Amino acid sequence: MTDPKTPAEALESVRKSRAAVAERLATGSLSYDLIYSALVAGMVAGWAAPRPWPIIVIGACTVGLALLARHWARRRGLWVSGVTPVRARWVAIGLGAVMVGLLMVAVALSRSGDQVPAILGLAAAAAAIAFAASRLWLKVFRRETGADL
Amino acid sequence: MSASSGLDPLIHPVGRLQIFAVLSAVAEAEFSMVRDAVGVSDSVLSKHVKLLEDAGYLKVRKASSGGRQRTWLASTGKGKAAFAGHVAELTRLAGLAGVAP
Repeated sequence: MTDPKTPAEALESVRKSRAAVAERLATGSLSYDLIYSALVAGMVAGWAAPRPWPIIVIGACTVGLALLARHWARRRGLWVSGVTPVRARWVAIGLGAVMVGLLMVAVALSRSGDQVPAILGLAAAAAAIAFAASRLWLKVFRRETGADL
Repeated sequence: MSASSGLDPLIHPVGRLQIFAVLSAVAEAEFSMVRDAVGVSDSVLSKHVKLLEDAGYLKVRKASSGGRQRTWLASTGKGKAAFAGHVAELTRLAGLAGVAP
């Protein structure tokens, strides 16, 4: 390994290192996205059950998300909080806002009587949105770390 | 290419520049991942890490996992600022080189 002779060579070495990060993140992300989506959907679907199950399910899903993130970080050798990169963070923040909204609707539905089908429909929507947002986040992250300097 | 006043001499060597390229994209990276991405040996990376840690550019965290200890690296605010400034200067110089006759 020799030091770069020109600024362009130095920038190229930065791009290559970031590309290695992006590649490692992409590997096996589909299984992560599926489990992540299922856990997020579980948080919403839990409100279809009678009390105190919604709180128990939310707690279990939260622990599941934490364990998923920890397992994923250990396997990849990387820890990326959703808000680390500047542009990709808006995808994470947007997803968080949508999920809070869906959870609030689920809570309202659970209080208004027998709304199990509606809540389960909401959970399915949450799963689809979480999956799409997770894929979008990776796409934005890769673009941000790989090409933009 | 020599380090001018706009470039940070501490992260100018390509190995350290690449370490920061990795760490600037993530919250934390494991030592072996950085070693593979940069393409250096353990001992070379250790020397870079010690130097950058002493300068306050990165922090080192040791955590045991599955019966063995793992070392995690993260850039500090000072390190992030230095890297951003260094890359901005490199970009500026590359632009100048691009328009030079």
